[in-house]
Amino acid sequence: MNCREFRDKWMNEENEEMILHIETCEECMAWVEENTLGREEVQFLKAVPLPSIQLEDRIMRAIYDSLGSESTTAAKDDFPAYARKNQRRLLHRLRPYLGAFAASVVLAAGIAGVRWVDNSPGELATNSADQPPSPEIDRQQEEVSNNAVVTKANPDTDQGTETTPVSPEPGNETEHALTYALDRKSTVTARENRPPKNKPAAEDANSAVSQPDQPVAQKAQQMPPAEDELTAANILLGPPEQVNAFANETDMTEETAEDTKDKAKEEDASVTVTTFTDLTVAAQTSDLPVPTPSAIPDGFTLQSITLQFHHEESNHVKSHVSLYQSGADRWIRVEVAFQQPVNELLSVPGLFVDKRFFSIGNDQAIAVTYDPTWNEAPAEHAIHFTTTQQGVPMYTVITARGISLNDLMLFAQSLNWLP
Amino acid sequence: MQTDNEIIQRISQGDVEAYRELIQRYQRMIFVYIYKMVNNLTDAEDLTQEVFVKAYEKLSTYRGESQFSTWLHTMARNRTIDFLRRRKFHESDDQLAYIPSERRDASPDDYVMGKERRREIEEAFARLSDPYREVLVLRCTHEFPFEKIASLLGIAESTARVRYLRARQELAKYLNRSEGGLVHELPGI
Repeated sequence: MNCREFRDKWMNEENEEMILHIETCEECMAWVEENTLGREEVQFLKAVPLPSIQLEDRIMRAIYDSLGSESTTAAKDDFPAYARKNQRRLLHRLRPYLGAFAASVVLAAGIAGVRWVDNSPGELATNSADQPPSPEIDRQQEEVSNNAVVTKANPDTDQGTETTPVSPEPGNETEHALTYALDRKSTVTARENRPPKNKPAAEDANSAVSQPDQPVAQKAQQMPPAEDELTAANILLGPPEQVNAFANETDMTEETAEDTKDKAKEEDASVTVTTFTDLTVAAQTSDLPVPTPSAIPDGFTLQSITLQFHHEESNHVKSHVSLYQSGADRWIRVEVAFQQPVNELLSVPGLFVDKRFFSIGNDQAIAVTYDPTWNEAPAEHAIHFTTTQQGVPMYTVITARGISLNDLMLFAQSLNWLP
Repeated sequence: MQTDNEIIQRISQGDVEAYRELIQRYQRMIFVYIYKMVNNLTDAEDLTQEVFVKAYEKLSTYRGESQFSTWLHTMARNRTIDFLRRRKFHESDDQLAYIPSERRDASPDDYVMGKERRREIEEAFARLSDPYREVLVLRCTHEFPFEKIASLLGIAESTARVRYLRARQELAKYLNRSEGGLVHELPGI
């Protein structure tokens, strides 16, 4: 069949010959196209709407929802084996971060505790993410600063569902503020739709420590005075049973007896932190390499670096936090945790308006800007990466507020590591 | 840039966030296809979400024998056909089957001159059978080659070509009829 025959017959019939012809004849294809629809129709067919920018996050949230519901109903039969398998893998991979999570929270408590000792109200207030120091805070701090370096978390503390910040009014009970801190933490872990195991340890620590609306300093100031055997860690970790519940949930599938034993030992151990204001001096004390930036954003200065030791008799640092600030509401926090076993997994749960993959030296990093409408965002930006320096594997999380993501990435890329 | 299979490998190792990369690559393609088929933004977004979640859950069944985009599109197609089947069933009673769903929410402004032609085309397009609409979307909207269209639809390439041309012919026929007043033929308007 030639083209003329095809075109003569096209409108009225369809046979094997015609089909064979149109399979290879682009000219006849074009002819039919031209003679059927006009420009307007084609324009209509080509016009496409764009999905909303939230769609990607909606999808991811739904996936985390499904994973989260799976973690709470472990024996759910209709859940794909694939997801269960990967969830177990994920648990296994993220186990090292759990220690880092506890360490980071403890570090934050350590910073607050150490600063109480120093009785320096201005510095205490700087832990607030975006709230400048207020006379009210200063006054309260004066009231409590003489009371406790180590403060006890009351095991009977209400663990209800309070989820709104408690204003630091003199009449408020400090336990209520503590409960809020605990609830915020549990919101990030157990109650959140995303499974906690997908959240790197330091991220959780940020959620608990760096929440702009619940600065460590403010919570610490609301602690009930106590002078007995308790540690500063309890301030943020809360009653033992709550810590155990978190540990049980996250490690439920692959926890070994040895792990449990070690964890219990760590939980029972006193918190041992040391704070410096000089990175070089800190590096001399720490066997965990210390990051020192060669390019600090304008106006930022190092406020402190706090080392967390494995236990009170240990010379080994398990993690440390460096804090850089500019004014009351601009800060950069660099959290580094020893990572064993080495794990290259980077996962930054949350809702983002910007995310980038980039290199820091030979290491791959993820930089994100959290969705400002997401009220659980731990900071404005975050960068996650793993690195091995001087043979020491580490997971690093940099969070910041008050600078651009580009500047934060440059800051991260300028890090050198002091042995 | 990582290949789809490399990303899938990362996901299989537990990196859930890696799935975002696949979403970013294909959400527009899937959304547009579904939107053109169901003609409703909300439904299209909901279905797109369902497809990606389902694809994540079924990722272990993806063997890499076809492109991931093809595999994903097949999933979207099945879900969309199922949705359309259910919608037509539910709407058969109120005689709205041929009316694009968005039309029901249209404001009076949509009826002004200048949009009338678009409305006619929309309605004619909505009257096409699902296979005809589908092949038009794949060819005219996505601009896929016939080889890929044939693969997606599970038909021979020659069949895909003929179906596409017949779909155009059918749409043209509806539009010619509409010049006499398609709106008046449709009950409920």
